[in-house]
Amino acid sequence: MEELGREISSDYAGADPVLVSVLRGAFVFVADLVRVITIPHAIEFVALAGYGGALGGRSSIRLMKDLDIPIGGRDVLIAEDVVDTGLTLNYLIKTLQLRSPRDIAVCTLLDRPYRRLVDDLPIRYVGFTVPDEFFVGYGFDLDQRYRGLPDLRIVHFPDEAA
Amino acid sequence: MLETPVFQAFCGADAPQFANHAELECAKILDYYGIPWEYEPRTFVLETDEEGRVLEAITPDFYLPEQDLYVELTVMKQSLVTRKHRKLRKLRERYPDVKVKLFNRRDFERLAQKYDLNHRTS
Repeated sequence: MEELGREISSDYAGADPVLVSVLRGAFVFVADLVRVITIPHAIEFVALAGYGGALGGRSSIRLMKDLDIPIGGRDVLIAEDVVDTGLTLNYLIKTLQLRSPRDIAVCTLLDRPYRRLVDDLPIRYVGFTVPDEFFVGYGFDLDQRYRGLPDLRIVHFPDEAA
Repeated sequence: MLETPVFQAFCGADAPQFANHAELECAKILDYYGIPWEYEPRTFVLETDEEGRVLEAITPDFYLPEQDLYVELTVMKQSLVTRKHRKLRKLRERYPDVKVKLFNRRDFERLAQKYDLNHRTS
């Protein structure tokens, strides 16, 4: 975490970036990240509508909670809990790009590049590239539970033995 | 018979006829995120006999034109996907410029967990 903070603080020195956190999975990560970034920065939160899938839902993704400040001409750093397919992140970046920021980059705690469907994403900072495991804790949930566990734990599902 | 919703991001010519529920759900996810996609737009010949007759071919399930990426989806058990892996390896050898990715049962179940899909499809 300190390493990420040092790197971001150095790269954005004098830039006063806007750190955009994607709710809800990234909230613990961001809480720690902002405390190791030593330069002035704003913090904003966005929430995206979940897909819903078999439970029913909307036909296309949308912002449930938007930014509260304009980002035109500013450096934006999106903080994600994990990037795998890149579908959500791709939507968010395209949406924010319409507001003419100076630059958009991504900082993710976990990365699963082998599962990427959209691969031209500006992922500049990666905490850990992780194997194909399911994590809970440190903000990560399983059916909205276990987010409060103090660290990341791997979940083993009973039918995944093969 | 699988449902055939009206897709927003589908950019193929003919209406897709999905082979299974996993393909349908995958199409819905791509659509939801506004990723342009086509369904089985191209068949790649992998092997022919001396007279040029096709002995082996593969038709990846999805093509994402913005990513120039083919996606093959399989929900077979891991132990049964060896043949599929072999075909994809052959495809990469014969067509080195073609980007293709295999989404297996486990990948799809991860997606299902993430997107609340009904993923017990096999």
